[in-house]
Amino acid sequence: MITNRLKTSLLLRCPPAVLILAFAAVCVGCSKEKPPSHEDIIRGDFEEILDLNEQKCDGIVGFEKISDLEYLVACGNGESYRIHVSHEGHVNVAPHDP
Amino acid sequence: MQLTFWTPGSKASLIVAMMATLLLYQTAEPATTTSATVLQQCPSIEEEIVDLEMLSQALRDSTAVGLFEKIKLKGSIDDLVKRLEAYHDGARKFSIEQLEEQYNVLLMRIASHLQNKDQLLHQQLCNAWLTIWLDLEDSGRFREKFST
Repeated sequence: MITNRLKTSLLLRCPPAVLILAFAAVCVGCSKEKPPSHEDIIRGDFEEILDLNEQKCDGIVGFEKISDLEYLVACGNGESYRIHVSHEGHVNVAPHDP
Repeated sequence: MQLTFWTPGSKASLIVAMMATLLLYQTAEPATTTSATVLQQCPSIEEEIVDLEMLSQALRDSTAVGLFEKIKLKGSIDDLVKRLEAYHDGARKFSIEQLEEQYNVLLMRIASHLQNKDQLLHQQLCNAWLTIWLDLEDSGRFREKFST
């Protein structure tokens, strides 16, 4: 009986629109994307570089910095690539045999 | 037997030498940015790009990059600027070394779009690579460029 009264009074005090808005706010908060990590940012750029150079990858699973502007990138399909910048600023992508 | 280098006079000169070494160490130039050691042979150009804003504008005007890619690149540049702004405001989510790596890889991505398609802009990018980073890395210069 007390709980029924409580429910009624709550519903009376909070119109449905307010409840819907509160629920929506909670949902938006939950679905907010986690900010990308450093690795996520680098991976995203490498994926596009490989794509531009017509190299298949199926998602980058790891990368390693070899030297200045030179990386080894490991792909989901088992391939790995060497990505490096030449002295003239040209980005070269070549399959790498471990 | 007394060792000559422990005489009061030589001790003083030893201290002076040590202080001079310390002073030299403190005033030494910071390590050169890594990309400078790689990009040694960028072709010489007449019209230079001097900052990130100019690069963004040149990318907007370039026919080498499609509309969708332009929007994506613009978003990535803006995101990097936001992360740098946070860094210069004291946030330490990313270290300056990480931000430099993010900058370098983003420029590698932009260069991949331009090479073989927009030779002039690619050469301008090569020449501006280090200069732009020096502005982004330095807190004072960053605020000068990006304060609203």
